[in-house]
Amino acid sequence: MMLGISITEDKIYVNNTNDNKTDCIPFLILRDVDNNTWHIGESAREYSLANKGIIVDKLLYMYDNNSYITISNIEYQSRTIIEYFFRELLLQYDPPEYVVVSLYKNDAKLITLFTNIFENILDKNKVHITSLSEAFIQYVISTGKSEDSKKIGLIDFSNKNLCYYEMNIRKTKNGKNVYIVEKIQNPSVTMDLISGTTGVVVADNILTEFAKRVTKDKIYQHIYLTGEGLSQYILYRDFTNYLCAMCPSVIQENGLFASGTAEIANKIFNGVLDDNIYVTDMRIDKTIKLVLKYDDKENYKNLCSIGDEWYYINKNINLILDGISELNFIVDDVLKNKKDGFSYNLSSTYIDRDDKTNMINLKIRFVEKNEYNIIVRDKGFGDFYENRGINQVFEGVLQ
Amino acid sequence: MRIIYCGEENRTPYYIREADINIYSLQELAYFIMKYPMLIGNSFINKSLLLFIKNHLNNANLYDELANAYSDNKKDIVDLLLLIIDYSGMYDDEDVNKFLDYIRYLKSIDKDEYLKISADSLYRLKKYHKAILQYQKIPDNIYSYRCIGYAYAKLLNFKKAIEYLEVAYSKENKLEILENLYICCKLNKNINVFDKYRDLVTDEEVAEWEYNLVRLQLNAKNSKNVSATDDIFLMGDNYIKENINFLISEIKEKYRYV
Repeated sequence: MMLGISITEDKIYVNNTNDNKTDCIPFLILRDVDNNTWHIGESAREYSLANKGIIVDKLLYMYDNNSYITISNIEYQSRTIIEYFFRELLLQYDPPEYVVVSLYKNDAKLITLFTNIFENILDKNKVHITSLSEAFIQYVISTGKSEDSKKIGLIDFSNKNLCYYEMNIRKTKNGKNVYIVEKIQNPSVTMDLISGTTGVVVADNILTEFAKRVTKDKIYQHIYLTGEGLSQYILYRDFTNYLCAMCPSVIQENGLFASGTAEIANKIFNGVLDDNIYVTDMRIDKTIKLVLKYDDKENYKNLCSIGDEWYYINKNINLILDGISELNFIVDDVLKNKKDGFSYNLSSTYIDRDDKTNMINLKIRFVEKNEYNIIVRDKGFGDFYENRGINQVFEGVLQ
Repeated sequence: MRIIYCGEENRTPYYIREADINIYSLQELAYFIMKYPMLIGNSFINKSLLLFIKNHLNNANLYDELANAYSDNKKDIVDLLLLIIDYSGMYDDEDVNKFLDYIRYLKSIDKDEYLKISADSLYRLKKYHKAILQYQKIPDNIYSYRCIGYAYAKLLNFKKAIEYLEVAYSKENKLEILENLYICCKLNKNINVFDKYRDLVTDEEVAEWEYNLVRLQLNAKNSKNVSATDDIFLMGDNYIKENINFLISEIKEKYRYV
């Protein structure tokens, strides 16, 4: 059984591949002091109503602010409480073979948080972190409802968020599919709008304006609607009419992201080979190559390629410098058919030795989607020459 | 001008017993073959090396070619070494021709000369104990006595170093030998044989040796390794416990055969 867990700021959606059902669990926790037990989601709300503890919510907000949480005079790191939440969550399911977690936001801090938490709870080899954009792609692929050259849209209206995702499918020269997802967010629009008597009308106006802005002059194959705010989308008359006029296929699917995430878990666990190239907030959209030869014929080594998940890029190679004092790189923007380059000067200490015995180790890591570090370290030359302790870190941004 | 790609980082070495060194990449292996062919015996290409190339260097193509040639006993070892050199991508035709010329030269010299060359190579690789064993195989050789003396000095075994340097001086009266004898006696105050040679050198020469020795000692004191060791001892007991074992095993490795 595989689990797809989709995390937003205030809700967790869990889809298990056994019954393809999506559960929605409020992202809050309570400690029952008398019995020293933890409760999450609706159970926590019930215990709170019975005065058995105090609910703690906004966990990710507190983590972002490095806050501590005090419960019954005990201070906890927010990270610890989040881990307790997910330990309790996983107890509600059979032990999964594989878990994929999709996040509403893809910065390194959040990805690292959930990687560490799930690796603590499960085995390191049973966890993968991804994004909602990725989940969207895999959900659409799993429905078999995608064709190249036509857009597929998704509007997500949840508690803290109104978001539009747009998927385009292209083909490369050698026939591979490229799935590109772009995201437009409107963080000022939240579900607080629909509270009150005029809430539905106000929400309808805002949703319609948003939809008009993001879908203007575009042709769609499908438009999906997801999120709690759109579970009863037919209440928004103008919005619904506009979308149905725009696109012949408007589909509402509550657990879309969790379903797509579970689909990813299924693919990874079963080792399904995927020839497609994905360009999302979780993946780089350019290829970086190191230039190896400068004489009559240039030669390159790929350090990372378009479609690689930036957080997991961990290339670690050894090179020998033969008359070279700088490293040159090519950045290949395949989608825009554009090439660029950058170079870094190496420490002058490398020129002081016997021919072809200057070995360096080069690592490339991404700290955010377009920000990389290239770390160059002297390796000496095995047992023949000791390394001189030279360590250079080059930072850069992919434009 | 170029950059030679050596593959992904490999942390599992292959131990070359003949030279007491570890190699981690195909390029290091090719370098060893090119620079130290005199240390390569007929059993150099063996199953362990082939498996290392296949499993840790992930070079299936080279493995296949070597495995076929290895099982076909008609292939000369030099052909197998040339395959490795070729796959490393480090050397051009000119380098390979020089290598082959050197192989021809090694095949043409007598046994004692060959032993001397291989002992010198081990000395250059700082494998002093192996160098000593090799020098000792050369019967009654003036050059060997001197080199064995130097090698023992490098291993801080000054008693043995002085023994051999005295024999070396008795056979060839070189000032350089006396200078090293002087230094060994200075570094091991329990043995002072230099007095019997004192009249053979001038005061200026001794003053110069003394100056050189002090300079060497200062350089050694300021060296990276000594600074690193001093830093460890400044860090407190727990840090020392964690880090000193590594230093101790390094020292044991170097001076194991003393």
